[in-house]
Amino acid sequence: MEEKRPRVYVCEDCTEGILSAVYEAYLSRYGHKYITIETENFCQPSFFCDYIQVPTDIEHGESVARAIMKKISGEAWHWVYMASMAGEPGKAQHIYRFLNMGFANPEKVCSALTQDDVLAVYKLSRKVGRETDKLMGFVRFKELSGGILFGKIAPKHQQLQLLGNHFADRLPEENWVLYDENRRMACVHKALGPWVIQKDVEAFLGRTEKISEEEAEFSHMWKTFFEHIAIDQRVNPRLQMQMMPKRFWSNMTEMK
Amino acid sequence: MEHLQMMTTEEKLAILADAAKYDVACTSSGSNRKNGRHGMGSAVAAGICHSFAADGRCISLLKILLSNDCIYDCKYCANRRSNDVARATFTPEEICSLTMGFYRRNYIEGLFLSSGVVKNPDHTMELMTQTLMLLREKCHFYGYIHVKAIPGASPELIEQAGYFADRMSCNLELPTGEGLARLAPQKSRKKILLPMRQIQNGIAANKNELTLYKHAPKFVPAGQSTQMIIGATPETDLQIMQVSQSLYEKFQLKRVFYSAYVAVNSDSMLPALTQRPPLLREHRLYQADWLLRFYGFRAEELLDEDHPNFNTLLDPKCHWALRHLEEFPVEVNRADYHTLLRVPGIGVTSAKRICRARRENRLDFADLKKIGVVLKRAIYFITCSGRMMYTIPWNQEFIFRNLLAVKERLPDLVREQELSFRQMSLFDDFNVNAQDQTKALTGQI
Repeated sequence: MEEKRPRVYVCEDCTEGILSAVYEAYLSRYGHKYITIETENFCQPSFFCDYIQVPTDIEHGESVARAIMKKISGEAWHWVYMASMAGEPGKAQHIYRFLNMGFANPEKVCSALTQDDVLAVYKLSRKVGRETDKLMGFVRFKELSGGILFGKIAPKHQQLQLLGNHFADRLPEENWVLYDENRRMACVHKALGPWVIQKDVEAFLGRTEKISEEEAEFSHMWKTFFEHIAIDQRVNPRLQMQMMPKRFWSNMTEMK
Repeated sequence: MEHLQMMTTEEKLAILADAAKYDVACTSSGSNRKNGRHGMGSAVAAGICHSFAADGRCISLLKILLSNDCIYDCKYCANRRSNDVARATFTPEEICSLTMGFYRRNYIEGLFLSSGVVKNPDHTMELMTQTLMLLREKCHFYGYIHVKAIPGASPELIEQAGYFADRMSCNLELPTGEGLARLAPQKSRKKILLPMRQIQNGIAANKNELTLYKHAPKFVPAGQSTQMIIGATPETDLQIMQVSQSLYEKFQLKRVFYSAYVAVNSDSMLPALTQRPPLLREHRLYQADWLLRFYGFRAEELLDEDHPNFNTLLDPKCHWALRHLEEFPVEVNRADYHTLLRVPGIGVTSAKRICRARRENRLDFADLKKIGVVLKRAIYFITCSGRMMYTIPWNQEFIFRNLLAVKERLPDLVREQELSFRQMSLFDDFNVNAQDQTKALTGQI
């Protein structure tokens, strides 16, 4: 029999997009070993494969998500969900291979950390989670003149959804906007309402320079506190930088 | 007093943050609270660090004193009565406004309120409790609150504060009663342990209540902690670890914090002002504290009367393992979880992962590396399917010298400062002769 030509399913870089591609890959019955899934932003075309663009289909994505939860486990779904947020090439393929193993061996897959793809998905999910943990602390909101809280982040991985849940629970009575500089998207929360992800926010960004009267006072007091809380005899810039890497500093009030 | 009235909130903040900074605990862990749909704030079980100060310590809470206008004259304290420092006192409203304003901007995870003793313990505790009540009931603040119990305050006030706070703490100040009597004559061990016991009993009673009524108000849900100053008095590490151990066992504390003594006062009873904080010792004590809480070690296993102090060159677990070679090597594919935990290079996470992964297939050294075991340390103490990674001479000296060659990740401040302090007692432990010492120190084996 003639060897099949490898196929690459190219999808959007988001959870639903990757799962839509997984759906198509299964539906095609082309054979797992001939299929690779890659997100469009990390895709580097070569002559030896066929490229198939998979449009994101929310329903397909959801049905795969349900299947993972029901047939494999909640833990597996958590790993896949977190890993799909990663800003690294190859994640879609790792997720696909992880799911291949998972649907074949639902009980064992999450324990099989010695398998490369399982370990990769697990590590990706931890990486994303660690950045979320950091940002939960490092996000700084400033109060704009209209009373809206505005914060900027520049994360390696997609964080708006994860942070959106956290801050919606924490600041339910506030209007706030969290802007991802790298992806040019914003998480917008209306007081006592749900949050939504918005893509075209350039017009709003133009209006974020005007801050409220209290804002300058509070940010100044925060800097004062920050300076006075350190113990001189223990000063240790390297430890500080290790715990709070420089890439976060540009958006932090006290480090500017 | 006229002048105090004129002070701005920011000036007070500068003074009272300065005054609070020697308290080490700044964790916001132990409480998990989802918000309803009103007010502000929630709590995350693992705690969240919001920033890191220039000394590398985490800033999670707005750590301030309510007042530094203290009537006590504890020798080691920057705020002692006899010191000529700027004094300030916050009003409860000022603290609320600061907490809410900072929290809203996501600067902090909550409030850590402590205080010097103003007038008397009751008066101080009342002001603190009043502040917490305002925060919770008027400002509808649901973030984290850590509050100090002031020894000597009436039990009713402490109980009331406990229903508003997530965590309470009562500082032991110094590891032993004698030290306390010498350096803080107005405080006594008994007075400090009293509120600690009260909070412990309160938490236990509240647990019972909560099983009966799900919505019963929670009393100190994140538990209580304490701290002691290390290096101001001559206690040994063994004494300190035994104190911690009994605090964990008899008072069910969540955490004991160790604070390397920072010389701020000059006094004949204190170490010289020029002495730098004993950071490496503090580091070793924290490592050992972890061994007590999560690794199933006992203080008497780690240290004994002949070796009452931790080694500066090796971490406490390696040190223990070297002195108990009879318990090694451990077979990774068979040993139970608790035995794995005792192997240098295997931590809680990797021990759990090993137990899980070996159900699926036999583990070899490459697998262990993937799982996250620190092989540099572990290889001397484990076998995979009956084999060690390398054939090595099975003796203390060899393993010790190789472990020394593994660079431990110490905070760099510790490294440069303590090098001169590295004493020879370790070498006595393992009968290494003088020639070997120099080799080990220069890194050649």
